[in-house]
Amino acid sequence: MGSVVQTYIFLVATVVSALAQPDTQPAQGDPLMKTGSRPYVSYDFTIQIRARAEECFHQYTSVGSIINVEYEVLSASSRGRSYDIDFILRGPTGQMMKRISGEEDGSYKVTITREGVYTMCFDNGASKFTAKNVYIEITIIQRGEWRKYIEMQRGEVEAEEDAEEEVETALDTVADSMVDKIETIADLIDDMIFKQVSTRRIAIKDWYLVIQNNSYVQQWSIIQCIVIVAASVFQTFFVRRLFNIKTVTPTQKPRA
Amino acid sequence: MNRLIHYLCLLCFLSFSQALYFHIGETERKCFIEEIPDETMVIGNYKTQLFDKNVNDYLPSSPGVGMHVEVKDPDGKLLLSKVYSSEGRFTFTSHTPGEHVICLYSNSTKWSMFAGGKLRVHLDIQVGEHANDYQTIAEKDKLTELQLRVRQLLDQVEQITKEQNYQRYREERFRQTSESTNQRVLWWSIAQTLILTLTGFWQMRHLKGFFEAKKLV
Repeated sequence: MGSVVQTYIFLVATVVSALAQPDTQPAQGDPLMKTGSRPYVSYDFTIQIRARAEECFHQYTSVGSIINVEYEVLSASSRGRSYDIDFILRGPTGQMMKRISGEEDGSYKVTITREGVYTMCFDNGASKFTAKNVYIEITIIQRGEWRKYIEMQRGEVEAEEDAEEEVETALDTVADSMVDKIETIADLIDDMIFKQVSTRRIAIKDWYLVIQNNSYVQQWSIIQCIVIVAASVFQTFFVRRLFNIKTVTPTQKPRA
Repeated sequence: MNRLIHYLCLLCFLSFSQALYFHIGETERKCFIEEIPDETMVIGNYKTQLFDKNVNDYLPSSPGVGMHVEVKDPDGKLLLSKVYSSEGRFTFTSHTPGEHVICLYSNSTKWSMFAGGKLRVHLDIQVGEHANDYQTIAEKDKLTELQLRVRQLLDQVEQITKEQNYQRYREERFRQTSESTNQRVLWWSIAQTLILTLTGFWQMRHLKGFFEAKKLV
């Protein structure tokens, strides 16, 4: 009787704790829930961070996922200023997991061991007046649940074998190794995605540089042409002025 | 079939990891700059949550709070400017490639009175592809777990291919700009040398005429 009550209390407690979880979890049919069923989610965008401001992004992640953050400063509101920005990654309890200070670009990859809300912050506190455009790319590979499923499936297969003591059929072996092979392929695809993410970041940075170069060259050439013409005109008229002799002397008498 | 249900239940757990979220103030305007190729459909899903001081946490939904979504294309033209309810989805198609600015801000001023000043916004912007909801796909096509997994991998590989195509387009644009810079450097150097020589000649001629008029030469 006591154990039944205990089990009942335990079940109720589990249900209540599940319901009382932080309401960052969307309801069924929520459009945002769709992102969860994808094996990887990727966000990339450019955001402007004002001077002395900080922009933070939060994401709920499950165990076994890989968070990969890549960022770089594309432009600053005033030319010639430093392009540094700070990056801070905080865990579910607010503890600081990683801090990259004063870098123009950076990347950080971490495998999650605790599920919860992870916060990625970009801090422009170091500059007093310069706003910065930062390109941010956040990729989250979440296969934690699939891995659990594989373990569960392997456990089931083994349990069946033990129970029936049958020799493994050829089909079972094929199914087993298929799952392994699929996981290998998935790992390789993840690597491909991460490499593409890096390449994209470098490509965007180069693109900004090239665009700036292009307009810079044109502007400066026009200014230089104007300077050349102005300088020679100024030169000519200055030399002419040197030879300007007044036709009357200081005492107002005509000069020879 | 049992296993499929089980896997879908696991997907449910997976789905609790939802989109990126951030906080905005009452009059604050958050803008995201996205580089989008032309003729691409962009789908954005968002959801807002209001902070309740009594519970000291965010409410699951916040009725009455509207979000104003504004999208500008690379030339500054307004593509989309609509007010949506507290959660919803907006779509637009880009006609020119380049940097589009997607701005979000709240249209109501009432919520700051009881919200402690902060609104939590979940946002998911997808460029060019539809949100794959594997649960509905699995139910619709009646796939086994293995088939679903393979389908997910196929979609991922398709994403990689699209990204590579976009990379190729970017590289071509990059090369065009580099070549244009190269041309500009060449032609402007020639032009500057020409202008220099011409002004030199003009200067000499003018001064010669001037000195001859002054009977110094």
